[in-house]
Amino acid sequence: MIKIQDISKQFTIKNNIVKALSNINLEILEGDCFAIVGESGSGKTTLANIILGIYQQDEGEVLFENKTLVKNRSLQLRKLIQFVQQNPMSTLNPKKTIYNTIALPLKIHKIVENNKYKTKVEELLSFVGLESNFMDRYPDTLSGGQKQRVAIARALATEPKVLILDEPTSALDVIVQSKVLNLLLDIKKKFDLTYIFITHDLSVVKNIANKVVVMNKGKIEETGNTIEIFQNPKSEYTKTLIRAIPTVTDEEDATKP
Amino acid sequence: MSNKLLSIKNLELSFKMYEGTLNVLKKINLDLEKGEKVALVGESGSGKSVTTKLILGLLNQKNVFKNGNIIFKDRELINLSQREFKKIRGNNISIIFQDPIAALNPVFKIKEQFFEVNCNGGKISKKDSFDKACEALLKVSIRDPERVMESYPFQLSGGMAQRVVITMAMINNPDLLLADEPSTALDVTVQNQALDLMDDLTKVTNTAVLLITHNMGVVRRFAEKVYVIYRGVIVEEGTKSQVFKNPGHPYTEALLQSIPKLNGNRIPIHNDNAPDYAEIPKFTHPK
Amino acid sequence: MNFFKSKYFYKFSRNPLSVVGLVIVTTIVILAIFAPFITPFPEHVGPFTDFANKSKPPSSTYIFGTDKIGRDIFTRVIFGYRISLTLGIVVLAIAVPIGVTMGLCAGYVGRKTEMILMRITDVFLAIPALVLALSIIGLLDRPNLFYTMIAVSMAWWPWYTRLIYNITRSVKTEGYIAAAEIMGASKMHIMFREILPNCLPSLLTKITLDLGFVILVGSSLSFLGLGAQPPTPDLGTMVAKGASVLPDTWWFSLFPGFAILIVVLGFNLVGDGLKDMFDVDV
Repeated sequence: MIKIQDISKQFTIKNNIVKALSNINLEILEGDCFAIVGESGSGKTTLANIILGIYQQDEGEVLFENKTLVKNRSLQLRKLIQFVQQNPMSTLNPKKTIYNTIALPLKIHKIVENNKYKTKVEELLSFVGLESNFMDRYPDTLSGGQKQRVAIARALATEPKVLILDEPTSALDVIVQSKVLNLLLDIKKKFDLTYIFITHDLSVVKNIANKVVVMNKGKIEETGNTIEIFQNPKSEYTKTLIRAIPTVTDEEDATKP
Repeated sequence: MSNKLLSIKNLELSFKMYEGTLNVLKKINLDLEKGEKVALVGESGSGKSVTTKLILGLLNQKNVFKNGNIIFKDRELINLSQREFKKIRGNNISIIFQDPIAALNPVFKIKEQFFEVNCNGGKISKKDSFDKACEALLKVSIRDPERVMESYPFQLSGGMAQRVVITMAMINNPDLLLADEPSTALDVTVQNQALDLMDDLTKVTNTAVLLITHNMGVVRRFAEKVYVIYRGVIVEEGTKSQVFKNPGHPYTEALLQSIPKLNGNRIPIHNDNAPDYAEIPKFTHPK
Repeated sequence: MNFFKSKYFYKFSRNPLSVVGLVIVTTIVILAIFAPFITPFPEHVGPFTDFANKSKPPSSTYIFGTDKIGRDIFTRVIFGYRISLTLGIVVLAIAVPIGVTMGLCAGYVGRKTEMILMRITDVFLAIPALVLALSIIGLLDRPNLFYTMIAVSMAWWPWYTRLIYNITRSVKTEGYIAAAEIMGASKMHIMFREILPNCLPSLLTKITLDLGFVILVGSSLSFLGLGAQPPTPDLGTMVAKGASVLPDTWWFSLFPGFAILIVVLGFNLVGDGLKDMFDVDV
C-alpha cells in the first residue's frame, strides 16, 4: 500500500549537516499494523513527516497505491493519510470547541452535506467512546485520554485508509493507555485501516504490531515480523533495546535475549 | 538513635482555587530509613510530585494549606522558614528532576553551576570547586570532565546532562535524594544507565532515595520498598517483591495488569466497571 | 452567565487595583458618552464667551473653575474625554488590524515574507512614536484631529506586528497546527481561525494598556498644537493654553492634566488586571 524507496533526508542546523534518514526502503501492506521503533534521533518522526507531507525528502520516492506522494499533494491524497500525534496537550486547539475541531476536516473535504455536520460529529465521537455532549466543550476540560480520543475522531473524519500514530499513548497513564490502544485496535478492524505506529515502547509494539522496523541514527537496523524480531533479533542494537525494556514480571525477563 | 531518616505523618495538602478547595493529599504516611531506596508510584495527578515539593518546602503560596508532619532527622520541616530550608536543600536533601536539560540553567556553564552547588557545602574557591567537580564527574565515567565543565547545558546530550545533574545532586553527600521521574525524558538505553548510576552513588554515601515515578518497570529495577499512591491516598505499601508478586490492592493489580507485557500478544483490557479505588482501604504488606 | 461570578473575574479581581482601574475606566466612558446630559454647561463646548465669569477659580458653580473666556473647565474636560477616547479607539482600530495581519503573515508564512515584513516593522520601531507622528503630521498639510489619528496609527502598528509575530512563532509549532496542515486547511484558515484565537488574550490586554498610552501621545501632540483645533475641547490643548499662565490661574492646566493622568492610569490598571486574568505577557 505504501512503498518507501531509497529515501534520504538531511537537515542543516547552524551549518552542520545532520543526516536524518539515509536510504530507507520499506513496504507497508494493506491492513498492516506497522511499527517504526527507535530512540530519539533515530529518524522515525522524520520518516512519518515525509509520508504525511510535512517535509519533502531529498532523494527517493514514496508511493501510495502506486501514486507518488510529494509534499504539496492534492486534497484527495491528503484525505487518505491522517495522523494522531503524541502530545495530548498540544493536539487540540485550546480556543476551539470539540465540535469545531472535528468539523474542520469534514468541511475541508466536504465529507457530508452542510446540514449534517452535527450528526456526523456525533457519530465520530461515538466511534471513540465519547458522548455527544462533548461537542460544546473546550479541550482544557478534558483529560489526556479524552483528548487523544478526540484526536482519533478528528483523524477518522476524513475517512482515511492509513493512520500514522506518532507515540499516541506515551504521554498517558498505563490504564488509560491500554484503553486507548484497545480502542485503536477496534477502530482498525471496523474501518479496515492500515496503521503506521511510531513508538519507542517495545512492549507496546510486541502486543499491537504485526511488523516492525527498528531504526537507529537514520538507518534501518532490522525489519521483519514482530514475533521473529522479538524471538530472534539479529542486530546487536535491537538486542540492546529489548534488554533495556523495563519489565514488571519475571516471565518477561525470561523472554529477553 | 533510630535508623529513621524521613517520616511523613498524616500529611494533608489542599489548594484553594476558584472552583473550591482541591484536596491533593489526604493523610499520607510514609517512612524512609537511612540508605533506603523507596519508590512512590502513581499516575499523573495522584499527588506524588507535590509530596517532593512539600519535603523541599517549595509550596508556600497563599492558597496552599498543609497539615501534618514531615520529620527529617528528628526535625519538623513543615513550617520551617525559607532561610532554614535553604540550608537543608542541596546539603541534606537534594533533588533530580525529570528533564535534565531544563534542570540546568541554559545561560551558565556547567562549572559555574557546580560552583554554586559547592558553595552550599561551605566556603570553597573556584579552583577547588572545579577540581572537586571534575573528580566527581570522572567517577561517573565522564571521560573528559574538563570539556563538560566548560560546556553549556544545551551542548550536552540528554544522557550526559542527566549524569551531570545526578553528580551535582550527590556532590554534597546528601542524606536524602529525591528523584522526580529521573529517567522519563531519556531513551530506554540511557534510562538504565541513569538508574544504575544513582544506585552506585547512593550506595557509597549511604544516601536514601525517594523515587517518584509512574513507571512500574523503573520501580521494579530500582526500589526496595514501594508506596502506591492514587488520588492523594496511599493505597498500598510493601517491599518490592511483595507488591509485584502479590499486589494487595485492586488498584495496584489493575496498574500492573494494564502494562503491555513483553511476552504478551495482546493489549490488556481494563475492567471498565472497576470500583472507585480510592474508596478501598489501604493494603499494607506485613514487614 | 454572570461575569462577576466567573473564574475570569475572580482572577482579575485578585489585585484590588485592577478593580479600581475598572471603576475609573467605566466612569470615564459613561461620563464621555453622556457628556451633554451630565455636564452643567454643555453650551460651553463651542464658541462661547462669558467675560463676566472669566478666570474664576474652582467654586460650587464651576467646580474646576472657568477659563479666560469664561467657559466651565469641568464641562470642557468631560467633553475632552470624548475626543481622547475617540482618538484612542480610532487609532487602535487602524493600527491593530494592520499590525495583526502583518504579524500573522510574517510569523506563519516565514522565509522571505517574514524577512521583508519584519524589516519594515523594524524600521518603524526604530523611530520613537512621537517623532514619527510629528513628522507624518508635518508631511500632511494643516494639522487637524484626523491627521493626528493617522499619524499615531502609523507609529503604533509595528508593536502589534511584533506581539502577534512572537505568539504566532510559538503557536506554529503546536500539534493542532500540524494537524490542520495535514488535513489540508488553507493558510488563511490556519492564520485567522487557528492561530489568531490564541493571540486574543494578549491582544486584548495590549489594546487596553495601549488605549492609555495612545491618549497620552495624542494629548502630547495636541499640547504641541497638532491635535484638535479650537474651539474643540482637547485635554492636551487645554494643558498647553494654561501652562503659560501658571501658577496664577493654576486650574487652567491642573484639571485637564489630572484628567489625562487618571484616564491613562485607569487603562493601565485594567490592562494589568487583564494580564493576570489571561495569564499572558505582552
